[in-house]
Amino acid sequence: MKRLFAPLARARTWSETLHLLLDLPLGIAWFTIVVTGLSLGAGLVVLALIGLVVLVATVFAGRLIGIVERARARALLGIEVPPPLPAESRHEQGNWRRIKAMLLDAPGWKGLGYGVIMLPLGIMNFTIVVTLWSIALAGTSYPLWGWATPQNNWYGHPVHGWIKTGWISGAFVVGVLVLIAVPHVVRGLAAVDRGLIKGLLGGSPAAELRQRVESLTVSRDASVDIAESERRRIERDLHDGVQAQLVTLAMDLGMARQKLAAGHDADPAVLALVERAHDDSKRAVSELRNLVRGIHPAVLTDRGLDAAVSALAARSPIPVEVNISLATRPPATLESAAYFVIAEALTNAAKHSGASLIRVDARVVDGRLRVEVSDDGCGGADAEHGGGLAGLAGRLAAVEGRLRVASPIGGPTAVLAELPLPPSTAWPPPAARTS
Amino acid sequence: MRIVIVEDSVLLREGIARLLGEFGHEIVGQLVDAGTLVTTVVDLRPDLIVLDVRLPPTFTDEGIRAAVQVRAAAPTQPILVLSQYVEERYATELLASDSQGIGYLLKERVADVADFVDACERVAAGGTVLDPEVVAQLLARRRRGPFDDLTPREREVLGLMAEGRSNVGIARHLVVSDGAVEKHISSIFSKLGLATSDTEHRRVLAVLQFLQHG
Repeated sequence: MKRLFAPLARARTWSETLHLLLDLPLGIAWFTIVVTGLSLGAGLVVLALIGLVVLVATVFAGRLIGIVERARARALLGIEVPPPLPAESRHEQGNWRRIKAMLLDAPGWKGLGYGVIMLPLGIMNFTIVVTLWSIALAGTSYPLWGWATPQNNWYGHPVHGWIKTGWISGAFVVGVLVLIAVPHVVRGLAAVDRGLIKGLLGGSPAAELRQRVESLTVSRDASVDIAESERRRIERDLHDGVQAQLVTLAMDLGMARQKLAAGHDADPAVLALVERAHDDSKRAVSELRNLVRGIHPAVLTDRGLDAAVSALAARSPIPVEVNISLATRPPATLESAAYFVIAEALTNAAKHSGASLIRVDARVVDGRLRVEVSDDGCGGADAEHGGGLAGLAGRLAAVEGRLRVASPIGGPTAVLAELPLPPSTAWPPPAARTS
Repeated sequence: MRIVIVEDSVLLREGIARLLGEFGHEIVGQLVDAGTLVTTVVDLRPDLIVLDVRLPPTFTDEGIRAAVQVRAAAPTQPILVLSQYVEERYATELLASDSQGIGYLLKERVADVADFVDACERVAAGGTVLDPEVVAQLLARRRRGPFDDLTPREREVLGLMAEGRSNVGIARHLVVSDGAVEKHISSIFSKLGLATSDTEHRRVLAVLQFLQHG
């Protein structure tokens, strides 16, 4: 018995009822907004600007409907519906594209659709709920006031006496049955509302994922670019600041040394000290130069991959054949990734391969910058477990490049890197970016 | 010697001026960029320009371009270019027309004061001075052609010639006798097909061939 009536005592039943009752006024309101907005907007399109403004405002109202309805669902239906993603129009460039994006805003249109559906649904929900609650309340309370009805009439036959008692009992039973049924009906109707709100006014996980991937790609590219320009800045600062100071210091020490050596009364111990200081400062200058080159070679920025790799080749203890044929310069981040692949592969080959010749090859194949460093050495290079080649794979991944290393024991070794180039618009000819 | 210095770093510019002054040279001009270099050269006719490659406004290769302009206006103007790093193309661009009175050194070579002043004097006298690293880079890259026939020792000697060293200088550097160096050099000349005429001229030809085609 208690179980049958328990749903009546649940707050949810009452809040859901309230929700269903509110469906009607809100449905009327939404329907009015949608129909007025769309017909007014469409009608005024001939007055281009006003019509567009009304349409954009109407589509935006679709989002507002979503905001109100999600709040209502949170308060009365107890569900948390994630909002759709913010409008994409703010990422668009140019007024027309922005207006177009605003007009095609899917969440806005879904909100409008919801507004239209809400009117018939609201009428139905309101009617059903009011009717059922009326029957339930009227039926269950009938015994209290049924006797007082002055004239009971059933198809022309007067109702009185035991028939009246039976009539009152029957109405009471119907009232109780309906009272038991009402919470379930309310729950069923509320479930439909929930489904509609989730389906039409909630964010879609797929769209959310897509947008997230896009924004991650953008932010990743930005951080790669920032890292790259930071490296260039550090290189420039070291050259212009510390290196200039060190060179001046070494020069002054060189002059002091010269003077001490030329004079005849110099203390040999002092001369030896100055000589050592001079040599140390020169060594510091050349070490700084190597360090700076490891951070970012200036020749790469100024003269591109071919020149920078030629400089690498000149320092290689193993002869290197360089064959770089690029019609235009790739973007700085790709150029630098390619450079460090080649630098690492050359270092590796020099250390471990025992090769007699290394070939460096770089060209564009199918929209990709393809860099290959091969040698005729003993093989056995490992890109999987730590070491420089594994570090390269990470560096390449940041620009969506791939690294393949073929290095069977006994050789030969081929290190192949492929870096996707951005579409040609993002790839200006060298003249546009020499500075 | 009357020298013009073009260098944007105050520290280095004044350091180089001090150094060259110390060795009895007169600094007639100090410029922070190459904008007015050509007019300065025409006005002052210096014996030597010491020129940084990286200069304002873009800090890339203004110095090289300025050097080429100066040589177009004053073809025999000796220029010593200082670079942060070695770039053989800078060298070949500089040497494209005439290698006389051209020098290309890493900036840090100024620390070897005597060698640096010596290089300045050689360039001012119409000689060619290339940084050993430029030469190494050229040697590493140029592998085909008549230079394949050179022995490693001969390549080394040719590299030292490209740096602008005399036979005696080469002999001292390699710790061999002057005679041995002469033997290497005549072998280089014959392998490169340079007829026996004026020795100085053949030296320049060999170095040029080495730089441009090697």
